[in-house]
Amino acid sequence: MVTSALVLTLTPHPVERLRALARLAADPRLELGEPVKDRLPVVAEAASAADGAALCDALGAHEGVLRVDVVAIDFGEDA
Amino acid sequence: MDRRDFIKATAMATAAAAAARLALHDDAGAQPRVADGVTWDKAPCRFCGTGCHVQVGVKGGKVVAIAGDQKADVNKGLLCVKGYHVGLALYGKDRLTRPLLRRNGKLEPITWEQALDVVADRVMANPAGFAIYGSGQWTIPEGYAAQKLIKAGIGNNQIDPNARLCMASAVTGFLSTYGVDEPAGCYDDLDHCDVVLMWGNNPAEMHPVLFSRIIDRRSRGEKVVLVDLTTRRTRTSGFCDRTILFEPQGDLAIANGIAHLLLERGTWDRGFVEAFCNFRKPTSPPTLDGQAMTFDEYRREMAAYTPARVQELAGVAPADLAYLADLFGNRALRITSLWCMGMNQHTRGTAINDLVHGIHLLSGHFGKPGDAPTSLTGQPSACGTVREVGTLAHALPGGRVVAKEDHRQEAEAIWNLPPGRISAKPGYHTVEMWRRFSTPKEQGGDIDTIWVQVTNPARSLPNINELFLPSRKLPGKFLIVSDVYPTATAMAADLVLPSAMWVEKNGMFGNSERRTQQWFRMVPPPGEARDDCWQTIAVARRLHDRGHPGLKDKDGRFLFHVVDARGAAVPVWDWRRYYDVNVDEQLFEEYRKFTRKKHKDLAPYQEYVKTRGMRWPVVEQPDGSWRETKFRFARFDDPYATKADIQFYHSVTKDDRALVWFHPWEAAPETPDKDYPLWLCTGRVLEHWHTGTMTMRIPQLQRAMPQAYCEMNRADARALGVHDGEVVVIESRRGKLELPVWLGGRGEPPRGSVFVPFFDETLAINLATLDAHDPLSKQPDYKKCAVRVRRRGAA
Repeated sequence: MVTSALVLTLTPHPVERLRALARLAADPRLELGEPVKDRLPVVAEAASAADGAALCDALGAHEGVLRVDVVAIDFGEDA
Repeated sequence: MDRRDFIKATAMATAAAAAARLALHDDAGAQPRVADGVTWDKAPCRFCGTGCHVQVGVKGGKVVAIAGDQKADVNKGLLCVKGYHVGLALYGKDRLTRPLLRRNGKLEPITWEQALDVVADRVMANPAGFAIYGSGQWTIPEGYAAQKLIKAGIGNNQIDPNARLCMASAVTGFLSTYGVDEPAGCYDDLDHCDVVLMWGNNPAEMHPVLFSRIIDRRSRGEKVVLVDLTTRRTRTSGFCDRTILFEPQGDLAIANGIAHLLLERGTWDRGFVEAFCNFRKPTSPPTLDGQAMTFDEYRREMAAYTPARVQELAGVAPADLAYLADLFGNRALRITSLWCMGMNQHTRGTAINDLVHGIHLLSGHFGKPGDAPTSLTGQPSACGTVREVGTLAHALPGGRVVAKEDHRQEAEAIWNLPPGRISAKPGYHTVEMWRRFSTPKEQGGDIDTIWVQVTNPARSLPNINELFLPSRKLPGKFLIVSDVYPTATAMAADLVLPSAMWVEKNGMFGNSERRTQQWFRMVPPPGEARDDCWQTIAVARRLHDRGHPGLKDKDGRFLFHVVDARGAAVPVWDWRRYYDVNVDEQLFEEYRKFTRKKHKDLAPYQEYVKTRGMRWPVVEQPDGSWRETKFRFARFDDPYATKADIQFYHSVTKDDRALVWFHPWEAAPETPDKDYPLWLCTGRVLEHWHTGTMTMRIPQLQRAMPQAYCEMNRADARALGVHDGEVVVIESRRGKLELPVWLGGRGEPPRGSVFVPFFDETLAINLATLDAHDPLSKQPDYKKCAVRVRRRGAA
């Protein structure tokens, strides 16, 4: 299991932001932290590093997510 | 709490701390928590020249985790996709683990003792024909050891790095303008500027962490104007307020056109120019000093670069040129220019570097935070190892050159050599070195052995059909390669030496903003892989033991005399003893003696152990602390600028003034014609670094961008009847290869041009590129040559 610590930058648009938060909260691979202004701490879990990278890419394409910054990664069994 | 919960909780704490820091600018510097037996230590990233720091998590002798280093000024805890995966670069399945010697056409395992003998045999047989080809990925001590072996030991000056191919024109630009190399500004400029002007570079993909730093300011509501001057639309263009497309080679005309408008409108900065500038024009043959000209002569030369003429030469509309001149003419703005390969890989690379510095000087956009012309580098220690240690065929450490007697004498004194030991004759620059290696001896091919360390010239040299491949068929030519993976170069070698990589060894890098960084070995290298620095010292010792006279100093001591804490000599050429002492520290402390002459002062090694790097000059303070310098030549920050607000204290003209150059526009050496109607531009992509020898072995990156492609304009594709994904033949006068076409990809080349990335070892675009190079920097142009594209099977 690969575990990534991410920071998502959310749109300042309030409605889009709420929708984005709802969609992210519904994703079982993600654990959301408490937003700090427009920054949302997220922990993402994936079966492999490849899946983790794909998940990051997918998050970046979410409506309402402006950017995904990677803060840390634990490679788990993939290392 | 089980292990998984613990890791998740730790990750959330790390993410939350980073989110708070980003949102609130709280630089508390939280670090990864120690979790589950993982130990953490700092290291700069292995990849590009940005110099991000990572925290490396190690468990059981393996790198198991990577985190952005929140104490690092450069990246403030963030990483790009390559940095995110840097730990996995160590663990490709095909690491080289034993020395290999080619016998009867096949590489066979041998011992290290045998391998060192083979290298020593080659040197002793013909010392004059032996060369080292190194890298901006060498650590500082590695490059210093190779430099000392060649310049002080073997004595033929035949050493040059791959950085010749990536930033040599930036060096000549700084030298010819300020009399000393490397940028005056630093990344802090990105936090203070109002305008970022990108001259032919694509930082959104190539320096993403720096680009994020700018975009982050926008997300906080700050106004930062981004302008993209480019020959093709890239990911960077999508973020820019204005993208100005220009014809290849048109940058020279644009720069002159901006100067023309500043002069014509009277918006140049008279006070700055009169106080701090002289004027220069080129000579024939060209030199870094050029010929003096008056301001009025400069103005007359620039008068020819009217907006109409710039439009004709560069394809840039007068309104766009006026927009650029408006920016530079507004002194209330702070303007940072950034550039990388677009300006450097250019047959007029020195000229365009000079001209961009000249616009900043002419308009007074210099010497204040945010007002700076700043080159970026592509390799992690192109600055630290190549430019500062001077691992170039003409250079000595600390900004010295072999051609100057006083410089040689200073080096001989520091190295304790007999007078006259260092040769005054420069070795061959990269293109010439490889050309001679690929030329029969009887036809002037006087380089017969090259030892390659930390680079892949079989794919990164231009025009490899002429510069690399012939050597592999010529009798008497012998190629030695030290590397971590079986690269294209390693697989073509006669002798392969397995190397340690990144945190498998101690190291130091120097990044694009004059920042020197240090790290310690954290995990063992696989099998019999060993440090490049050890390899150099071990070969030196072999030569010493065989009686090569250059390997002793004037007191008869071995050139690499290393001692322990009690002062007793340690035989570090014996691998079992190499880590008995910190060889890096001893080499660095010796090298540090070279750095004061050009005011590139470095702090003691142990100071770098404590920090995430410091930017030189680093000067000791009365209280014993060491202070870095962010903004050179500016009295408010640079301790060596004492006479005026701005002092160019290495001025070519010895009067503390910089040089503003005039250079005319000149056509590229090869331009599209009826036979080869398209421009070819080559470069990198986000996922891969250089020739892909590391990143193509990281499955995530390989899957994200699995192979090279030919990016085309849709109209050109339609005209050729080519569909997206179709394999085409791309062909120049020098070579050809087959590639799939990508339409509507990341980049958008304008009609009449194609782009091909060079990361794919199996699809070598440098079969087609041109080896024409800048007359001063000797850097080739990978961005402009003429090609044709046809459907596979079509005549």
